[in-house]
Amino acid sequence: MAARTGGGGSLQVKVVLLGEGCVGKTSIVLRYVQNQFNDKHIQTLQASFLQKNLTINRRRLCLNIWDTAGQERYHALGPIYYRDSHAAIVVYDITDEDSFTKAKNWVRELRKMLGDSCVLVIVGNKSDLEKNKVIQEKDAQEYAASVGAKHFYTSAKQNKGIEEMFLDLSKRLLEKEGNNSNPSSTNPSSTRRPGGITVTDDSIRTDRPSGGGGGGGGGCCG
Amino acid sequence: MAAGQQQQSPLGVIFQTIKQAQEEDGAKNELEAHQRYLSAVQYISVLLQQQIQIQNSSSLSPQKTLQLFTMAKHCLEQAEALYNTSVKENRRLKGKPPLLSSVSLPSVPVPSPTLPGRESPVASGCGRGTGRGRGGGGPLRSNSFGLNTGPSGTHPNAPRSSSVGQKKPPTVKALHTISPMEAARRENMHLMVQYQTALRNNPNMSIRGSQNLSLNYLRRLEENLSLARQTEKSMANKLRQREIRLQEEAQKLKVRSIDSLTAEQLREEVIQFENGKAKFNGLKQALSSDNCDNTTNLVVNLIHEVLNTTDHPLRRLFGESQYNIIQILQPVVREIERSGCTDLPKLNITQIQKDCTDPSPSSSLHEQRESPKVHSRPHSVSAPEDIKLAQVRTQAPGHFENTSPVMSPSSTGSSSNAEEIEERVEDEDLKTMPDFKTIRQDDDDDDDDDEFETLKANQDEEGLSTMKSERGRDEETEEEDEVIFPSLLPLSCTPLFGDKDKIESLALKFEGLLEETVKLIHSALKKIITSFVSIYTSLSSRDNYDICKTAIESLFFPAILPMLTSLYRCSKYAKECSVAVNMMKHVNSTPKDIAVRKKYWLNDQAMPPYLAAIEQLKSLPRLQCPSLKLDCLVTLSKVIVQTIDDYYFTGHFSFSSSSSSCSEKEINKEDISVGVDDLLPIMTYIIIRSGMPQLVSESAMLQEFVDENYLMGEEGFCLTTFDTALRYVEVMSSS
Repeated sequence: MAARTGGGGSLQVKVVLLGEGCVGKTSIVLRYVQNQFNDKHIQTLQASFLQKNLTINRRRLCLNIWDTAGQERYHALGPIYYRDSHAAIVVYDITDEDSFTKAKNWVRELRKMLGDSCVLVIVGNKSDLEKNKVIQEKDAQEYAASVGAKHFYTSAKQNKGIEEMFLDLSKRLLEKEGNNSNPSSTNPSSTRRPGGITVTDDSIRTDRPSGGGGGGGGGCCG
Repeated sequence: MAAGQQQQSPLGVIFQTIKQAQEEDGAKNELEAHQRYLSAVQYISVLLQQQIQIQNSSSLSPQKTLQLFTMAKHCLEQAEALYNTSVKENRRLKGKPPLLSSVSLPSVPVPSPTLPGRESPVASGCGRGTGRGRGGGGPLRSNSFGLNTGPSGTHPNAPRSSSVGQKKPPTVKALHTISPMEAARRENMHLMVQYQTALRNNPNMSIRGSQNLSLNYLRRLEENLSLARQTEKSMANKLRQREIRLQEEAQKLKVRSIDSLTAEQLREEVIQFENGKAKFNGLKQALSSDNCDNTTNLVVNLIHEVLNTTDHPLRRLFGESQYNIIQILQPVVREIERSGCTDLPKLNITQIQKDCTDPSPSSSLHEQRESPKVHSRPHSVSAPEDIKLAQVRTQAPGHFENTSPVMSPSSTGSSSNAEEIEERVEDEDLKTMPDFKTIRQDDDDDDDDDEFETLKANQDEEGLSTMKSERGRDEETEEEDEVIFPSLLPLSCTPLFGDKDKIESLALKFEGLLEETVKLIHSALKKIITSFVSIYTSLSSRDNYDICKTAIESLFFPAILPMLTSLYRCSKYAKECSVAVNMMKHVNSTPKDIAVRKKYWLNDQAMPPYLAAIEQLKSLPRLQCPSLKLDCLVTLSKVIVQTIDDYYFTGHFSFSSSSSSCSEKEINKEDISVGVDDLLPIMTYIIIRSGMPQLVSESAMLQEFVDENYLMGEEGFCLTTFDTALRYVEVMSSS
């Protein structure tokens, strides 16, 4: 059996990534997890599913980042993907009006599906193409605020804004976890301490044992 | 009442018997005489026995006793002599012991029914027991021989003309182990003798005195009996309690449902069972002390060890739970089987010869049989596999069509194919015959699966192993034709749906049952795992718990999964049918048709793209445990990504001479990042090409039995992707 996630007492969260096919959502995640593209030993599922381990303020967090399909024809099947998510990153292309409309649709659907429990981030990608921007920052910020989300600009190409976006997301997830006990928490004894936040980027396990009985305990978060 | 006879003493009876015996002897009535003599011996012995048992008995003087012994000897001698003579004449005496039964037994030596009121109270008080004590005359126990039709049964005073023929009464040897009731009866008999003696010795006793005496004896008789009854009752009670206790113990060991035990009881039993068993102690110690990375093996070893030990309480719990589930599933599965709906819907995918593009199976068969091209392929002698495949291709569609919905041997299809074969064999390699026979046999079997497998195997084998040579031949011999590899030949797909109404009614019938069974399985597994963890505390750490759970499940499921799958398939029939229809419609789809992005078409190879992934998926239904199936799906996703990676970056498949895609290959690695946008269509394509509608049931079952903890991670993601693609296949339009 493949290694089970959730070992080592870290908080397991599911983060879904939504957005149209062309907005570059997979690039964002790849940037974040890999921080470089030419690493040969990329995780075998590539951009579809990624795990990232963090230690923020002595609390361990394991982000399970699920990509979702942006195509219209799979739209009706989307809810299977984002059920039970703790957080959602809705990505749009700042140069594409349509992608922003789509993003709004997703936000609506997420709120309908998951209620307010879901930590929501709206990301305007391709911030390097500032001159082609069609979605004004003010509109985007206002919209994000109206749905209880935070808005970020990122550039996968230039690797800008991605770390900040994920860090904010993680902190909000931990905060939420501190308030209401999350069923996925495996470390209820740990308490949030005030003071400076320290973030450790835990090394990720690139290849997980597949097949075979038992499997190594601890998994990626060990 | 015949008073004279009533007053007869035991001695009198004996004298009379001997006298009668002598009379009979004199009259040459040997049989009677023989019996009488023996009776006399018996009477004497009974009397002597009583003499010993009743110490205070004054009925016989020592002199009389000695006289009795002499008499007995004499009688025995006489009887022996008679026996000897009669044996010489004929073997009647020996050979016909039943004759004796025609002679009634006397109830003596207690011919004393004068006891006033004796008949009613005693008899009613003790029922049969007293009756025996009275009538049987103690050790003789004539009743036990079924001879109570004599004087004892009718009237105690009936003439004692008969004699006793029995051998030693069985009671004698049972003296040591007689029941209290029996003892009481004997004592009562002696009391009766005493009573009689008392009456006889005082013939002039007043009526009042005799009544007193009678009452006195009656009271003693009753006392004896009631005492005996009480003793017997308490003994019976003890016996019953002992029996119950024994039964409990036996159940504890074997029969008692271990399922009903509380956790604490179970724990105690396990401790008791494992006490002194070195292997368990060793494993437990190793587990509790060891914190190196060997724990996984230790945990798995422990679980296997426990579940392989037949008498282990946990193993019994395990077996019992499994048995309970099988008990529910078995009749259901039988019913499904009886209705002929097993394993439906199903797709039979076969490759069509390239020269018959007509999608209709029947016409393709027709064309093939008449087409000279097929029969006269020049290279066919050197390629037995090719013939085999071609035959399968031609034969299968017609066959399927004729016999749909449920497969059965079709005479027309078979015979026509047989003819065809004979034709071919004549001018072709004889080696092809056995191969064909194998396939034919599979046809004749009702086992669709085997046939399907054979077809598949041929197809795959063809596709993988003979690909190169085939290509070479094709190029040589049929230059004008476009180069088409066998595995890229168009597929013909014939669905088998079975009796829709029947299956749907079954599905309706078992709707609730599936839910219940699933619940039962969950609770059974939970109980087993909880028991393990609570008994072996070292398993309670999170990692060990997971390993333990997986190990137990992998042992638990194989026995029930095939049946459970049948039930699932029945209940998901409608969905599977939709999937089957869409699979059939798209059977020849390429990634392009499923709207996969162009860079993932990978279609410049000599085989269908993503063949490895298709094969991976085909192995899914064969796996017997949800966790293995889940692994299979994770591997499936990885194989897809790996295939793409290999295609672009390792040149693994670069043997292909077609270089048209080389320019496409000039692709930045950055561009090859397979997100779900790409993965889903590829997965859809793979599912369609697998031709397995039962994936619907597999997916449903997996979602039910996959551990929640897995759902968030990679496994859950792969399952979700697979499920989404499958749902898409179910609803996809035919466009």
